[in-house]
Amino acid sequence: MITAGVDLGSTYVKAVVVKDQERVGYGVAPTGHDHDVTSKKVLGSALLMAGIEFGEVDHIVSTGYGRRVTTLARSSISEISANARGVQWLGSELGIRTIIDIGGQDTKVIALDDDLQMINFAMNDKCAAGTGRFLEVLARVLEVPLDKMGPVSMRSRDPVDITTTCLVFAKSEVANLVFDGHRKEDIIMGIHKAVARRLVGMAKKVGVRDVVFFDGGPAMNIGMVHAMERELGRKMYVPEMPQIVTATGAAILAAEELQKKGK
Amino acid sequence: MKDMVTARGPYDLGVDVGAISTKVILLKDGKVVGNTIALTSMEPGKLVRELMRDLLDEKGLEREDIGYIVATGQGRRSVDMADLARTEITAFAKGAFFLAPDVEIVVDIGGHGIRVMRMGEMGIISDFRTNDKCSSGTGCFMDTMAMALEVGIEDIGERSLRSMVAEHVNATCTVFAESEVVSLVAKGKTTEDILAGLHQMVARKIVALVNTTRSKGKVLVCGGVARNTGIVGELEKTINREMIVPEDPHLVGALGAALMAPRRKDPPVSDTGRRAAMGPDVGKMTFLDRLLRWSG
Repeated sequence: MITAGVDLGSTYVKAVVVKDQERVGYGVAPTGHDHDVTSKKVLGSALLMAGIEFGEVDHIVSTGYGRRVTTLARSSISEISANARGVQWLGSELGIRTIIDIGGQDTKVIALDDDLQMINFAMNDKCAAGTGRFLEVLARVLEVPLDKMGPVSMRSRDPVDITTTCLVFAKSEVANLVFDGHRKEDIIMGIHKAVARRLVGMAKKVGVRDVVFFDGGPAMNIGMVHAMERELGRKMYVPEMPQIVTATGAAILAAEELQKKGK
Repeated sequence: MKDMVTARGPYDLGVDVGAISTKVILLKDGKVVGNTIALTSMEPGKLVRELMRDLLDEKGLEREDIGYIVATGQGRRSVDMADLARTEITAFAKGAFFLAPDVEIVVDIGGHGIRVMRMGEMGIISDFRTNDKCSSGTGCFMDTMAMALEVGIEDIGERSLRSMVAEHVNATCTVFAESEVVSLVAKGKTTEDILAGLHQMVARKIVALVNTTRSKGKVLVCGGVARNTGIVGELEKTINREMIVPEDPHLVGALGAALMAPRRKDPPVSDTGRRAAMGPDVGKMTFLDRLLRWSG
């Protein structure tokens, strides 16, 4: 059985192709203006990687903020359920009980029970502080490519303290810090710490239990992971490809839906 | 010859160094005799000195004519020549009480923050809420939206009033609202309808903040954003209580600062004084009156 999951995030669209419970292909691309066109393109590249024709795909499930916009999928599921399912697929032997997921425009903390079923969650989609957007906008202010933020920040010996919460105010604060001659690595680590403070504060409200799983695009940022672990006071499990866990979950759910129908 | 003991000039200067603009007001015997406004610069001390110079020249006065300089606003500490520095909360409450002593709630919608003060007896603040962590609904929010829509900030109020059906805006966050506005424009929605939707969102937010005070009393709305007729209109529709906006709402902080000059006697809070300070019939004007006044 071949299924696909398409995760239409606010910033990136991710697609995963699953064949018999194995991930055989994936694709990632910036969302752009037309969710529908981008989702087709991303699924196309995932299929290309898997060496599978579109006609061979048995079922597609969409998820994420733009899940209802794509014409690809016949059903859709919330990104919270899809993310939890993706973690279940990774395996129960990892002992994951808390998921922290940073998206481009929102942040989710999901608490799992011992059977990896979701028992509680919190979501912030009201405020840009503590989301991927915070990192993205400030990277632009600093003129540092987003994927270099992590490595650059790891050189920091004396991180600055970002005192503002609102991204709009943080933009001016960061510009002033640059003007005052602070090192970029210190400013970036300060930014990572500010995001980590917000995320951990949110996670503590939901309840943090080991093992903490960290995913979403910003989890690819080593500086962000470092700041999170310091703020949490414990190690986290970061998957190899943190961006596509939710899309994987959606693909697995697609296979399950199909099995149920087949019965 | 001036008496040695009271060698101070008869004028007081109130300075409000806000996050976006700096307001200076010249007061004599409880009457506003002049005011000026400029965008806050990197060196507020220098800016205030220049604004004071201009104001004095305009009125044909000398530096010695100024008795006290009182500064407020988030940049108040940069005004090195000030005799006193007071918080915005104190200054806005003082100014608002002077203008309308019967007001129970004072809302200041500033460039970088929203403040809600509850007034007790004799103009003493009994409770207050500030939000300076979030830029939503502030002047900076409106600036961002005006820029995204390519409309001048001074025109957004009037433009929004031409809307027939406001376009609902979901996002509260300035950053997210900016993206939402851009996508609404891409969908072909009109600037007027989007602005009206933004103003409704801001009004909802402010009303919610005012309601946390659990007071049902009269509200005075001031600060630079209160010059936006669109937001004032939406507030009047939703606030569900008596509401007034002084004629120069952005000057209330500077006025309050000037009023805090440590003179032996407080300037009288009288109707005549109030009228002279902020124009006729403040508080008696309806929204339509103000609209007519502002639109010419």
